[in-house]
Amino acid sequence: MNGAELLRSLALRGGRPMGVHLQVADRCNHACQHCYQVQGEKGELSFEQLRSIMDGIADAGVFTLNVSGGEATLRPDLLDILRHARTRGFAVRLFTNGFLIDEAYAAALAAIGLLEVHISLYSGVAHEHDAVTRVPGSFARTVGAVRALRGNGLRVVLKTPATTLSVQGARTVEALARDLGCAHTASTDLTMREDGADDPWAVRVTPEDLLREGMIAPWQPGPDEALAREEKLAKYPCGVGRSGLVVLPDGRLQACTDTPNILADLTQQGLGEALRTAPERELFEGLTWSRVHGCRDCDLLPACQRCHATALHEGGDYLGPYASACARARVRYGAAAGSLEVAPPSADCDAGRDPLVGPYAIVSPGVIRPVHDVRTAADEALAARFAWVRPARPAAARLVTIRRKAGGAPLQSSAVEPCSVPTVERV
Amino acid sequence: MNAQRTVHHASDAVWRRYDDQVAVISLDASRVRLFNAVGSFLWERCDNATLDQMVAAVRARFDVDEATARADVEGFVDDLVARGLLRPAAVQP
Repeated sequence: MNGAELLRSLALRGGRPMGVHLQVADRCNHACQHCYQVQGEKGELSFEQLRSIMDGIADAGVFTLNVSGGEATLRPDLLDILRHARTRGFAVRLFTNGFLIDEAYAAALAAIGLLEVHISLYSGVAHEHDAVTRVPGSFARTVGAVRALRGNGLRVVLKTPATTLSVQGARTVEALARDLGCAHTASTDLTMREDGADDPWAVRVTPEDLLREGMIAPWQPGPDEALAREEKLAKYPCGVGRSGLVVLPDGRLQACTDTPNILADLTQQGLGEALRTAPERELFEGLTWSRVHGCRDCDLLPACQRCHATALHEGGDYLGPYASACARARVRYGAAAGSLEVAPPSADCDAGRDPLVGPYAIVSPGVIRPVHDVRTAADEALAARFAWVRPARPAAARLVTIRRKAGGAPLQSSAVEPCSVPTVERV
Repeated sequence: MNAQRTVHHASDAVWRRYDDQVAVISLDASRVRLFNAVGSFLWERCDNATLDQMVAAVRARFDVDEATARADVEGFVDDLVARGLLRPAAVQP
């Protein structure tokens, strides 16, 4: 167990998240097409309100605080926010695009003391990065910020989500990260925008291209497949509601950046009370793969990764299989098998069964068959209790989390897991 | 370490208590240290405390003789000072 896993397990054992993601700005100076956020609709909190929310998060015993936006550096009081976070004993990460960070700002951040600064860099090639941000010159400014931060002794993590505008971005940024002395992480998933629009998916890289770029790997059943399945069924697909809590710029609490369900309003109650009273807590604490109908019965389960929020958006069911995850699992299996044939659905499937969505049974090497998606009484009870996980209406029409809350603060007028703590020592 | 000299938590030491254990990380070293019950007890009492005060606190809480307590506390403090998680207070001129 590494340090991050240890901290996470200690926190979860005590019923609290290890970290909270605090969005302090509802605006951005970049215009990335793949971004899940809609800016300028939620409103922002005053420093005093944010200070009160941070106090509540600290009182709940949270270890790490990720301060982000929008673009957090657009707030003139960001340094005050970070100083208060440090005063309350958080290990603070700043998520930023770095566009506004010059030498003096980097020195000020270093003086405050941050665990890490996370910066999105979409390519090691300037024009490719700028094509993603849609801000000419952004690559030069961001790389300049990274140099300033590193020069002031701060740890920097460069992050590269894969988009069609920079398919090889992760590879080029990885090389640049080495030169700059930064860590680097690449991600392959884009989520829908928070107003339900599919715009980010217009630049989503296909599973075939991800495979070609080495960002996903071929998969085939191993000799201990039964054990691998059992282990995966006991795991959580993600940290939603447990380690990935998000505070929106207006103070509302979500289980993750993409799950469109408000757990509480932290301008009205502290995080500790919110966690004790939110009924969804029970849902998220039990949300292992074994709770995901269809997926738990699929032979491609060990090859699969999922985002519950994307499942809701694509398939209308937060706890069910969905097309893009199934496509990726098929590509991984097909690559290992050498070819892939999808046989007609099994006889117990409903008429009109979509063959592009699991669960699947492997009927012979390279041949899979769609099988019946078994929903148990427990699944139905869960969906009835938390109606938003399987809405009656199409999901896209419901995924509007950007509305300003009643009485919310106006937008300010002025112009942004886990944890890289690898070593554990017991004393 | 001088028994009357105080130490304090390093400004870049981040810590939280989880039940009977304290976990500490240093922002510089990015390393998690997980204290046992005695270490956790001491960590929470060593900020701006002298060695004598820490020894007294340990003896008041745990069944331990003076010599053992002093040796353990000194070892604990020296180790954490060496690792940058505790800082000795500046000596007054």
